[in-house]
Amino acid sequence: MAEQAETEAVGGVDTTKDRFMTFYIDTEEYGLEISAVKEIIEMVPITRIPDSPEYVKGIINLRGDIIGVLDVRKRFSKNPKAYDEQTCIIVVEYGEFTLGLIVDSVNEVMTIEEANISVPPNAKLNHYNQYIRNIGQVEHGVVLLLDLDKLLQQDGL
Amino acid sequence: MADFDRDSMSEMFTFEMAQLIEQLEQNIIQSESGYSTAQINEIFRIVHTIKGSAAMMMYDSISTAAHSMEDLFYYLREESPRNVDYHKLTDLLLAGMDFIKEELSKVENGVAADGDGSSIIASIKRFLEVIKGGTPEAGQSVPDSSGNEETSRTAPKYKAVVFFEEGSEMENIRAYNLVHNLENAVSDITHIPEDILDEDSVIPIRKSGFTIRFESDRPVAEIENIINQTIYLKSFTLKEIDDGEEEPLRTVRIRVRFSPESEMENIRAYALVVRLRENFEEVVCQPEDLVCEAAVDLVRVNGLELTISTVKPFDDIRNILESTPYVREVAIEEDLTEADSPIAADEPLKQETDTEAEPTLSAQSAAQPPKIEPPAAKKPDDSAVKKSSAPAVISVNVSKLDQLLNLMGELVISEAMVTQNPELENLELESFHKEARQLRKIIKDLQETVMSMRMVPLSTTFFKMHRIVRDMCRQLEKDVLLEVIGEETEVDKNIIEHISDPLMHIIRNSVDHGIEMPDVRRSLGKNEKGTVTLEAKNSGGDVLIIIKDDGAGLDRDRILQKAKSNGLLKKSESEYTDKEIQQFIFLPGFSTNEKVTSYSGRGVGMDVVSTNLEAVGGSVLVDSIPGEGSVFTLKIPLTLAIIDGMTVKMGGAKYTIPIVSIKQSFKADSKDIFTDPDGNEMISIRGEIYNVVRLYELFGADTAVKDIGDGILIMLENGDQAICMLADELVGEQQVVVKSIPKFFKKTRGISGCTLLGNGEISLIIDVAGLFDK
Repeated sequence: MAEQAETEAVGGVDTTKDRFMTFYIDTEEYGLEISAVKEIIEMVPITRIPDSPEYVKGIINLRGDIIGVLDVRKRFSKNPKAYDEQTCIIVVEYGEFTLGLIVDSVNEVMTIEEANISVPPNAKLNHYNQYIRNIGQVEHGVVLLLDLDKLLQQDGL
Repeated sequence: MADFDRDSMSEMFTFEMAQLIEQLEQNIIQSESGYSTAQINEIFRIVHTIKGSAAMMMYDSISTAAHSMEDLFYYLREESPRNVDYHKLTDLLLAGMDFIKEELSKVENGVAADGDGSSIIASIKRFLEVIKGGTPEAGQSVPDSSGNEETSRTAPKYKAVVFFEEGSEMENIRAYNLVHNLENAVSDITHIPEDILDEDSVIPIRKSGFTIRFESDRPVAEIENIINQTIYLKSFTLKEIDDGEEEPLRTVRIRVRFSPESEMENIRAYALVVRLRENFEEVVCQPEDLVCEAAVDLVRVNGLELTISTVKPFDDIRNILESTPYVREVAIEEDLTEADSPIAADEPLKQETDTEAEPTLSAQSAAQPPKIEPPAAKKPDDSAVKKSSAPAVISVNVSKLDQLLNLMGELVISEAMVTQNPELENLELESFHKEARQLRKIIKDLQETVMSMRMVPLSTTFFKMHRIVRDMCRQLEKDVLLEVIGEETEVDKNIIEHISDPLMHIIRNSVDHGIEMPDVRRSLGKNEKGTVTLEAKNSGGDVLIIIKDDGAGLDRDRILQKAKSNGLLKKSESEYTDKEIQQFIFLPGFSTNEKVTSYSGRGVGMDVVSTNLEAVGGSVLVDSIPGEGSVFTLKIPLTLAIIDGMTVKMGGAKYTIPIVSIKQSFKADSKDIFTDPDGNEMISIRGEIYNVVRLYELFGADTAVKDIGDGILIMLENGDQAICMLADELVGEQQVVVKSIPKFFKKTRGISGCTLLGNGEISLIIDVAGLFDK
């Protein structure tokens, strides 16, 4: 992904700009900057690491590389839901880490123009508001754009 | 220099330099109490080589610094003065060496080596003056460091033919060094082969020696001396040539035929002619136009006719011809030289033929007579010289070794994935399993070889400690002997990097805090000279490095006080055992020394020891008896990457235990278990009582197997301790490649890493040592 991003930069056209990968937790749609997303894989067996917070599910074998996986639903402190065939792991690159994010289902890659992006309300009423950086307005509603920094912040780790 | 692959050259240069400096350091440290003649010679040789190589790479700062050291040692060697302050000398040398090291690290990092060594050079010069002042007859034979005296026009001319030892490699570079060394004493240097920066010149030098002509009015003995200092010198002749009697231009006509299978004879011929033209004054070929198609047949039928005129020895031509691919036949048709030196095709030409009458100064320096023999005596063997005097050791880039190791790891995993593939289950595969076993055996051998390639002895790291001890003794005015045992013990390259710092800190700590001042020691009835022993030895899958000093030992009360003031105490003072108190010193910011010296006492240091060791899966223990000294034991794994592991099942997960830690595994019955009031379970085996650890409790996991009788107990040992661990069942023994848990996770007690099993499943590797410390 890093290389890809580089070649794009060289080409002068940033095809990742304004593009977001969206996924669902319950009925809400969330978006991740496409530049951070490496790939999407199906659920695989997860090995739990003792002494880690509940939302950190453990480690998986991604073609020989060991990466950590987090349950986004648990991170948002939502009610647990059994993993099903819709459940996916979005592999993201975040700084020096490669991490997997478990989500209910992946929707699509969409473009949200900067003009259609607004900041979330100041009042932090919802518990998981802290992970939302912006809100994107799209035809069918809104997409909550995630702040990876906050999502992956290792408060408990 | 332009065509030089500068990068690989400078890599080679820094590599060689590092080795030289290491040797130099060892020699200097060893000879501090007095320099023996052998050591002076050795040091001279080393600084000389450093100077030469640096000058060749045009690192003037290094070469001038080395030059001043060389001058000093030249004097020491020639005059063996008695009034030398060896401590001062060692200080100076180390300072000079540090300067060179600094410059080298600049070179390594691609920065211009522009350091100013003038103050060091000046103090070395001053030192030299002081020694000289003490010896009245001094001064005459010291070479002027400025070097370039004008040699008078009437200076006698010399011709020297130098041979290098077989297998010395890079003869051209050695030759270059020689030329460089001669530059200070002689002028008008010409040499054959001319282009010694070209790697191909190695071959003629190997075969017919390196011929140098020059003028000099220096005494012959001095020139001989300079040549004698060349490293890897095998033999040389030096003779005076009468003015004007330059070797005459000789002309030979040679017919070269290429072997029938060579194809494109014209191109080969063309390449040969180009090469000859580079080396000889005049080369005419027939057919003249080799580039056209028609030349192919001409060359094939008639061969290539060459007319070469040169002053160079005929062997040079022969060498080039013989080293050209596909040359089948070389016929010397005619010697067109009028001179009376017939050149016949099959008679090996002696270089000296035409100058036999001249006085030959087959240097018989008293210093090393056996080394020098006239090259003529060796001549007949020349053709028999093994073409492949390849060295037994080569240097390989570490990154390639790392890559090899990674691939090795992948191979081990793939092998497991193939041979333990779930799809093979329940199949009748007799020969498959046989072949798989063979494959596994080969992989295991391969792996052992790969691992052994990465093993390096600890000696280099250990020898560095001599310097540290020496510097500290000088500064702290202590007298400490560093004794080194087992420095030949080998550990993985990656691990060595991690133990250098811890070792240094512990040694510093021992010398600074441990060993008392000489007068204190005397009053305590100890030997004034303290001893620090540095010992390495193998112990199972680990290497133990033991640092022992006979100093004051750790001060229990002071550590306790300090721990208290830092708020580290978790129970009442009296409850702490000596061992627990001693372990405090490895905590960050812990120093009991009130005054900060330049070596220790700032509270950084000992915690570096434990963190660095933990990074490679090692540990450190301290044992101290007040008044008698302390013993630090570093336990480091032999290798990091691949271990023999026993995989066990517990609940839904699998865990791998390093085989070296497993003492035995056995079935037990729940009635063998007894429990103390705190709920700690214990078991008695052959009269010994062991703690029982339920891994699932420790890891907060769940399993169906909770009854001791249903599972299996595995006895794990760590040093002299042992515990029994309960697992559901044993899965099997296999080699596993250790992978680290992503850094995203904090270090988990009891887990040292993870590995992939044959089916792609992840198994956590149990950190046995970690299970023991509570």
